[in-house]
Amino acid sequence: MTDDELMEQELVRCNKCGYCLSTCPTYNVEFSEGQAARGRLVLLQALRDGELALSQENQRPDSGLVQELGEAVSGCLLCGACTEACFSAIHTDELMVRARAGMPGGPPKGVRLLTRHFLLRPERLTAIMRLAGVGRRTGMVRLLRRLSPTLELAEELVEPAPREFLRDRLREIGFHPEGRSGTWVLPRDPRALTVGPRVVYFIGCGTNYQLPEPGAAAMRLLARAGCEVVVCPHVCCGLPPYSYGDLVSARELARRNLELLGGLGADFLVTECGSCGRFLKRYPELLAEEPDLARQAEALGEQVRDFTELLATLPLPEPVNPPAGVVTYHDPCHLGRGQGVTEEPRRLLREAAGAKLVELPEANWCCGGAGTYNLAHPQRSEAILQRKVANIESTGAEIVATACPACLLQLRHGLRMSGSGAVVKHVAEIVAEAQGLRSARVEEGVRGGTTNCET
Amino acid sequence: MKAQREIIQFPALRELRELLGPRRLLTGPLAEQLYKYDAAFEMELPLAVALPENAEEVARVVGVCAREGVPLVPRGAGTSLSGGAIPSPGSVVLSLARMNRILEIDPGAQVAVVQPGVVNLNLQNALEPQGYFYAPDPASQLVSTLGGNLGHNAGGPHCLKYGVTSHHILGVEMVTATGERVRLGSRALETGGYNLLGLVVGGEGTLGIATEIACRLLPLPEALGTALAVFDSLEEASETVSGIIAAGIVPAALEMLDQPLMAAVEQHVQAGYPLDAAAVLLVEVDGPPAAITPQMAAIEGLCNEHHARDFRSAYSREERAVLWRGRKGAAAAVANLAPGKLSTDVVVPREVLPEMVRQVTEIGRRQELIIGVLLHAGDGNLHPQIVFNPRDTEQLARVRRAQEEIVRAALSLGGAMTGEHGVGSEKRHFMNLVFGPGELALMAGIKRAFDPRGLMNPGKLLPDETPEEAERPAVPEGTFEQVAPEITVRDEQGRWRPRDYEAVSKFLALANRDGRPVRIMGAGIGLDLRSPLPTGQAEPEREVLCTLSLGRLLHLEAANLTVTVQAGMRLGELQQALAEAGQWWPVIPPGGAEATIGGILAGGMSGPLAARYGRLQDLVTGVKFALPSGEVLRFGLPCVKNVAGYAVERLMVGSRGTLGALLELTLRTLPLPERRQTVRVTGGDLETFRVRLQANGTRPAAVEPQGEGLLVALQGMESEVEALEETVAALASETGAEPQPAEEELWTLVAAGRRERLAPPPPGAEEFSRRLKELFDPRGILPGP
Repeated sequence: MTDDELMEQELVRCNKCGYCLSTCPTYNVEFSEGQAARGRLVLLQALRDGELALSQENQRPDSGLVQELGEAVSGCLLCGACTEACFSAIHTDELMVRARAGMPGGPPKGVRLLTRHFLLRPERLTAIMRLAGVGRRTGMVRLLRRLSPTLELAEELVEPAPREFLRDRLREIGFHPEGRSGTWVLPRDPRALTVGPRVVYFIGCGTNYQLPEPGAAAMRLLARAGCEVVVCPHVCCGLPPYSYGDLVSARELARRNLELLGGLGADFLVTECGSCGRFLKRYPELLAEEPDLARQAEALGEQVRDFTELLATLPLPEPVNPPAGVVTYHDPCHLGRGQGVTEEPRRLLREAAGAKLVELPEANWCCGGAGTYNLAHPQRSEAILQRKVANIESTGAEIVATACPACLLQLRHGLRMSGSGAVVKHVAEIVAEAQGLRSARVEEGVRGGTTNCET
Repeated sequence: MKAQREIIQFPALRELRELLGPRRLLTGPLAEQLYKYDAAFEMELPLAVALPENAEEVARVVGVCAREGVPLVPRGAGTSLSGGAIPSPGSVVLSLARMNRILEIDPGAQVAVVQPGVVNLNLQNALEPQGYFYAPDPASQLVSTLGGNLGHNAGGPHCLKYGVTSHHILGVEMVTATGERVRLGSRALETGGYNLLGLVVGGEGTLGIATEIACRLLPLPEALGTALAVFDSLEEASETVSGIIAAGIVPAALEMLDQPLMAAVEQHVQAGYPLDAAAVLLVEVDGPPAAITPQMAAIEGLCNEHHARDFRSAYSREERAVLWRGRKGAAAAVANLAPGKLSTDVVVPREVLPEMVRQVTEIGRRQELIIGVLLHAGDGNLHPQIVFNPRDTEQLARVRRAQEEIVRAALSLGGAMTGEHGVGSEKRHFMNLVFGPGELALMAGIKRAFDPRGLMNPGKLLPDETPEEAERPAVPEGTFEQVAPEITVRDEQGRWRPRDYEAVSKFLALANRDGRPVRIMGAGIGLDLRSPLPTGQAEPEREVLCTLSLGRLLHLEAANLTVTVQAGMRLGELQQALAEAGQWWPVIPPGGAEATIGGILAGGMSGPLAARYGRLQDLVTGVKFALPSGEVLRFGLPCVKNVAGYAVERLMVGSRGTLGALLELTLRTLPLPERRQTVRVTGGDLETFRVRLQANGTRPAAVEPQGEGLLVALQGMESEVEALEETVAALASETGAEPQPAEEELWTLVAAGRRERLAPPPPGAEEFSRRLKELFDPRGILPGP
């Protein structure tokens, strides 16, 4: 199906019943139709039918109308909650991405440049990220942020970058290089209760550059549960440019990943990032217009598992060090609704970690993080986050578990702001600690090996 | 830019923007697109959209628009299925979505006060932990707002037992068409004065905008039982429904799906419905645990008797959810059949449901459309679901025709054009089929009384062409003294007793012509309890028209739970007739058995059972009355659900003979409780006794002070009453009180004693009452309000 056919087929099915208003997080902070799925669909329909005409005068990207339209279209979190409430199950999130692609002036040029110069070339991305980390540590960023409020917010949201990225720490985790260049293998833990599958681990950008801890914990756990874990070169999954409507870049990244990840002789492709996992599973749709690739993508997609999805099928010993304090779990949109994985993380927390789990009210309500949404729409994101924080506080939980780096950052930010003492951790971290797997965290100031394995 | 031009062109918008700021006053092409729709078909671009956040802002927005002559369209979540929130040309849409705070929940008084933008389900969720619920539960409850529910008098699957929205609204704060804030009703079950609130509920925002709503709360039922039965014939399924009602069971829900709908559901959610069956029936009963088992057993027996080929029952939340799965998935299943869906909404008397479904099927065949029928079978409300492709204009035309034919079919079967979706903009043209010019003119007059300039939600509820003044009946020739004795019988007290309706009409027309004051009277009991005059004594200067001569029972439709009687029928006679059918009209008025139905309704005193069975205005569904001009009008139907037009039948309740002479009334009846027991409790700590009894899960039908003691009514299933008796005995011994069986007649004394406790009407709305009085009785021949 072409993007245009998708648009037509989906839009016509909206009966304007308004049930999406009940679950749309942006509507429920602004209470205006422009920030609800129904209103967004009506706008797209009006554009297609010519009822909303972008005249030459107002077609300029800087015109008031285009800006307003952009606000409605870019205001969508892509959380997918509306689809669940919709009798026709309209995929408003996908339509919004198509709409972003079709906005006058197209998707932001910066995204295209970022993809071409950095996302497709991870070694450059790593270099620039190291530089950014140095800049931040030395105070250079502090200087810059005076110039830009977004940067100031970014610094608050994005925690200090780790000195070492996850790919720097593979040797320390127990990986050793193998055969094909840039491939690393973490052998099965000899104590494992079973011989598990061989899995390729997909290291998302957020995991590698921002939150290596959950990735490391997930790798250790998989090995402990009997998996042979392989890390190999790959690029960004493509979700960030996709979210900005840059389908060209997203497809380029997907094609590159199909080349790099195809034919690795593994059973599964695993990640602890709910967003990466979902996007990898959706490559067939993304590449639908290229049948050969779509078939490959289909094969790859079938191998993709969220880390919790796979680990929950493998036997682990009784926890030796269950978390002290009550744990609650926030469903990341792309894992819960996106992949239908809701039971597994909870079961891991209860059983593999031995946690006392209390259910979070509205656990699957978006936290407002949504990739870089919190930077692009800080006020709205903040308002959405407040609802989540209030729900978390109502549980009295001391530990908030989740399973996606973007949610982790957003929730940590929210709980910092509210002054709540609760800590936010990835399910992988909580389970690894409970299983007595040594924290992979290298003591501050101690330099680990330089095992960078970027292509 | 267009937005700028509009702001410059319309001083009102400039003012509104100053008031609300640019983020809460939306103008321009995008805002127009975003508020041109609701969940119905039509669309119209508004001039602007205002998003006020409090009542004061609403009042100021309305004030500005009223001054500048800009029409206003109130909007909640925009889920109206009748186009109630579609903008009229050049209007400002007033979105109340931001006014979404629950202001107060008072479990003791069983009242919640909310802003109009509160979502129905959010209120339910807030109430549940406290053990209460708000009964109206339209299918859209997860998104529709209480303001919108109020405007449309929304129903839901639980209406049969619990009634519609109007039964559960106690009071509102309303912004009037001129931007003033007035209160209607109160927090009490009943408020004195004209029942203006009864008009505003279901008024579709054409009379004013509610900014604060006092909702009645009910204790959550202690236990639930759900049954699902599959039938090979629609007739047998419908007969089962009638059989359940006839057996004295009032289920909380009685839902039915026809074959095409079952097939769609099965394809979508696999609810386990056989594809070749004709109908599936879902019955839910709720109440004290002791009452569930016998009712479920009776339901199973009836299903078997009517050859149900499958019967399943469930009691736990999870198991019940399985049985409900198909019904809950019906809407999605229908949406899955084709891109577009139209949910129509008609009501017919329960006994003709199969005939109605047959006609719908026939209409579907004729118009070559897929139509599945969803029925709230208990109250005769059905929603034929028509699926189509919105891009196919030819098919769309057939959908429209089918909708029209369905409405006409319902009307020809004695039903209503809309049961719960409202008239809105989409069914206005049917109003002429339902109402005559007199009724339409009166409704147009009501609209003018509230909104003289026609700025509140114009283009809704009333048809385009409403006669300014209907043709008045000819006044008989001759003087009053000549004609009156010919058409009435004068009794020994000098009261005029009309032979028939025509006599009432002529009598009033004559008096009206001559400006001769008249007083309408029934048995001369009920009303006078509230008037300063001694019982039965007529004011000397008024001609007294006594309706006791119009005392016949006209139609007792037991299966439909309705009865139509003449106004002069005495309550005792009515109850006797109903009892033979195993039913009653659950009202204990101050006047007792001698009081006439007309007098009881005009008096507006519901009596002690109102909290359990509903107030008078909830127990009347239709009325025929004569205006002082002699014109005879009728409003309402023998249908529990009917939201076509203004609820004049509710206005007449409590109007105390000041607006017209009641001739005929259609009442909602209920199955007689299996057992009724009155207990009088004396001595000990009665206050503690009362509080604890009312907090008890299984509640008595009424608890009222009587003399030195408390009178308690225990009513319901045998097992239920037994359980209550035990509770009463236990609580009495704990509080040192003494319970004794008592005569049921004592309740009439209690009812008479309640009159002082009727909440007085809040000040501020007198002008509306004055205008209504003027509209009904321009020459003032009837007593003042």
